[in-house]
Amino acid sequence: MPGLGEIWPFLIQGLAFGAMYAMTGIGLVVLYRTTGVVNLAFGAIGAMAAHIAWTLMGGSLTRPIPVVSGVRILAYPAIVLLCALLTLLYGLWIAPKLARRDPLVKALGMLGAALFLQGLMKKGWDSSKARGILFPQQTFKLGNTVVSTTQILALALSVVVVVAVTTFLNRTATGTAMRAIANDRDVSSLLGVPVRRVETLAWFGSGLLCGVVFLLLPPLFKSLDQGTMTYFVISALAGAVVGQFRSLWVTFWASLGIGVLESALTPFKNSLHFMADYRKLVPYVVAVVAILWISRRRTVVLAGREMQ
Amino acid sequence: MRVRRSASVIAALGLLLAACGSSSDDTATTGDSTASTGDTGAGTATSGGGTDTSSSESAAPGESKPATAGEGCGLDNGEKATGDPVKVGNVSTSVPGIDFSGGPALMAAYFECVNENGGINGRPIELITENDNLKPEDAAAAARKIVESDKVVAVAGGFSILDCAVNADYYKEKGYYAIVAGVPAECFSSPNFAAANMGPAYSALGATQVIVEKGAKNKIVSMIPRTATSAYGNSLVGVYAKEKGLEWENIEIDVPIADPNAAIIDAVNRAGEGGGLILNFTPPEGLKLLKAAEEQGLIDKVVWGSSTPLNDNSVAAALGQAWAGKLNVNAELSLLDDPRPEMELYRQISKDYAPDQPLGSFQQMGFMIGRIVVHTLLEMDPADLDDPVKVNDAIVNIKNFNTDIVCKPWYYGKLDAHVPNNWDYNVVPNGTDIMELDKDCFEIAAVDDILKDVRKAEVEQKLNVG
Repeated sequence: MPGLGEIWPFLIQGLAFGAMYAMTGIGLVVLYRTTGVVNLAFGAIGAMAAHIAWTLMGGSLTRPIPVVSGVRILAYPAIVLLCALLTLLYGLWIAPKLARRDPLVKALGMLGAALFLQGLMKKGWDSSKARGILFPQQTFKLGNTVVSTTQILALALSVVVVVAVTTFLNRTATGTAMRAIANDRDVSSLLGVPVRRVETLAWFGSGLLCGVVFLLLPPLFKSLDQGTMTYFVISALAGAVVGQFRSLWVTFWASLGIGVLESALTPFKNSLHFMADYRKLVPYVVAVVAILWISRRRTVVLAGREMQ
Repeated sequence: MRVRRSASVIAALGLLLAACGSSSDDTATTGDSTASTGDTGAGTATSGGGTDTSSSESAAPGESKPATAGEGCGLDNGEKATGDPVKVGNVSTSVPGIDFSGGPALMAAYFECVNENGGINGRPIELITENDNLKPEDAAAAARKIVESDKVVAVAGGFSILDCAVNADYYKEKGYYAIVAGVPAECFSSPNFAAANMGPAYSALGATQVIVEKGAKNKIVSMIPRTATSAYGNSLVGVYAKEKGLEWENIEIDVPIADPNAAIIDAVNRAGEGGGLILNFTPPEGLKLLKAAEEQGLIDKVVWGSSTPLNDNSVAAALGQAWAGKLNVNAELSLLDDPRPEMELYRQISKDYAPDQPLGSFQQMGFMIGRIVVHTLLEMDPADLDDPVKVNDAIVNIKNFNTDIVCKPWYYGKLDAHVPNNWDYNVVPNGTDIMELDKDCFEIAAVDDILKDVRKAEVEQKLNVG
C-alpha cells in the first residue's frame, strides 16, 4: 500500500482529470434536463474541433505538436467556437426531428453523430500518426510533484462552471424556463415557455462547455488520440449518473472523486497491483453502483406521476 | 423519477458501449492497398531462377535485370506494367493505439513505382492488405481470404500483432513462407516466418544493452501496451537485466494511454533515481509518455531507452531540445537520412508515392520487404509467377540479399526459427528535427537459445556472408 507521499502526485493528476469529467458531466446534465438528450457525441465533437484547430495551428506529420505563434493563436478560441457551432448544428437540424421520440432513440442519434464524426476524423487525420496540442503553460513544484497551470486552470474552470451554471438555472428567467422544460416539456409549452428557443440555448451552452473541455483535454492527454477523446464522455457519464442527471453539485463532486480515485490507484504494487491494472474501470464501477442505488426502490409510474 | 431512470438506462447503454468504445475505430480497416491493376499481360524476358539475390546483378548482357539498390524500381525501364497482376497479400494490425498501416503503405508505394517501371517482367504486382483488427478470429479469416479467395502467390509485408501466432500452422499447411515485420514470438521462432525487423523483444533488448552501457543502475523498468504479446515483448529485457545483476520490472499498460502523466510518474518512481526505463510503444503512445515526463521534470531521473518504433523524425521534432541526446532508440534499420542509394530511393518513393507517410521505421521495413519480394520474383521464370509453390520455394531460398537498410545481408533459409536482422544501431533525438546516429551497428546479445542457433546457422549455411 503506497503512502501519502507516493500517492500525492497522482492526486494532482486525478484532480485535473476529475475537473474535466465534472465539466463534461455538467454539460451533459444541463442538456439532458432541457432537451431529454444524452449527448454521447460530446467527445467526438470536441475531438473534431481539436483536430481542425491542430491543422489551423500548422500541425503536420513532420511537426506533430505545433508550436503556436502569431495569428495561429486564434486556433485556441476556435476550438470553443467550433464545438459550440457543431453542437448547435445538431441541435437545430437533427434534434428537432427526434424531439418526440424515446430518450433511447435520441441517445442513439447522438451516438450516430459521434461515429460519423469519428469516421471523418479517421479519414482526415490518420490515427496511426502522433499529434498533439500543447497549451501555453508554466509548471511549479508542489511538495514532491510538478503541477502545471493547465491542471490548475482545469480545476478552477470546473468550479466556475458549476457555480455559474447553477446560478444561471436558479436566478435567471431562461434558467427557470430550462428547469420548467425539464419537468414537463408539453406543459411548459402550453404555459408559453419558448421551448425551441430555450432548447437552442441549451445546445449552444453545452457546445461552449464542450469547447472549454477540449481546449484543455488535449494538453492533459498529450495527444489528439481520436478514440480516447471521443469516448472520454463515457467515463464522464459516471458523475452525471451519480448526480441522477439532476444535481450539478453532486455531479461535480462525484466526477472529482472518480478522477482522483482512478489516478490514485496507479502506484499500487505487488499483491495490490491488480488495483492499478483495473483503475480504468473506476467510472464504470461507480456508475453501476449508482444505478443499483437509484433503482433500489420499486416505483410505479402512472400518468407521468410516480406512485410508491 | 422516470426521467432520471431513462437517463440511467441510457447511461448504462453508454457505459456498455465503452467496452467497444475504443474499438469502434478498430473495426475500420486500412483497406486493400492495391498498387496497380492492368489489362493484358505481356511479360519481358528476364534472368530466371536464381535465389541468391546477390547474383541478380551479374545477369548476362541483353537480359532484363532488376535494378540494384537505389538505381530505381524493379526493372526501372519506365514502361507501365500491364496484364493480370501478380498478387501478394498480408495481414496487418490497424487499431487505435496500435496502427502499423505505414508499413504496408510504403510497400504498396514501392509496388506502384515498380508497376510504372516494367512491373514483374511486364506484369503489375498488386498488394492486398487485410486488417486483423487485433482480433484472432479476424486474423485467421484474413489469412484465409488472401490465400484462398485472393489467391496470392506470396504472403509478405504483414505488420501484425496476431498474424504469426494465429496463422503459423495455416501458412505451414499451405506451404507459404511469409516475410513479415513481426511482433509476437512466433514471428521469430517458426520455419514459415522471416522478418525484416527483429521484433520488439530483440529491439528492446538492444535498447537495454545501450542504457546499461550508459550507466543505468539498480533497476530496469520496461513498459509495453497490454496485448496478447506483451509478455514476450519485454521478456529479453528481463533476461539481460538479470544477467547484468539488475532488478527488472515490466509494466503492461492499456492503450490508448489516457493518463500519461500518472503512467510515467509511476514508471519512473518504480525505476528509481538513476535506473533505466525502456519504452516499447508506437510513436503516438510513446510521445505521450515522453511529453508527460518532460512536463513532470523526469527526464534526468532515469536513463531512457526505446525499441525501434520511436526511431521516427516526427518524434524527434515533437520532443525538441529538452530530449536532445537523452532518449536511446534502438534502430533496427539504417538512419532515415542515410545517404546510401537504397535509402535515397526509399525517401524518393515516400515523397512521390506516399507523401502522407512520414519517414519512419515501419515505412522503411515495408519498403525493404517490397524490394525483397520484387527482386525475388524478377529472378524467377515468368512462367512460374502464378505458382505459389515455386514462388515460395524461391522465397525460402533467399540468402545474402544485399540491402542498405539493415546492418547485414538479409536471408530466409530453411531454419526452425528466423531472426535474420540481428545487428542494430542506436539513435538519439538531435533536439530539433531528426534522430541522429549515436552508436553504429552492434551485435544484439544472444541471451536466448533462438538467437544462439540462428548465429550458428548463419555461419554454417553462409546465409549472410555479404
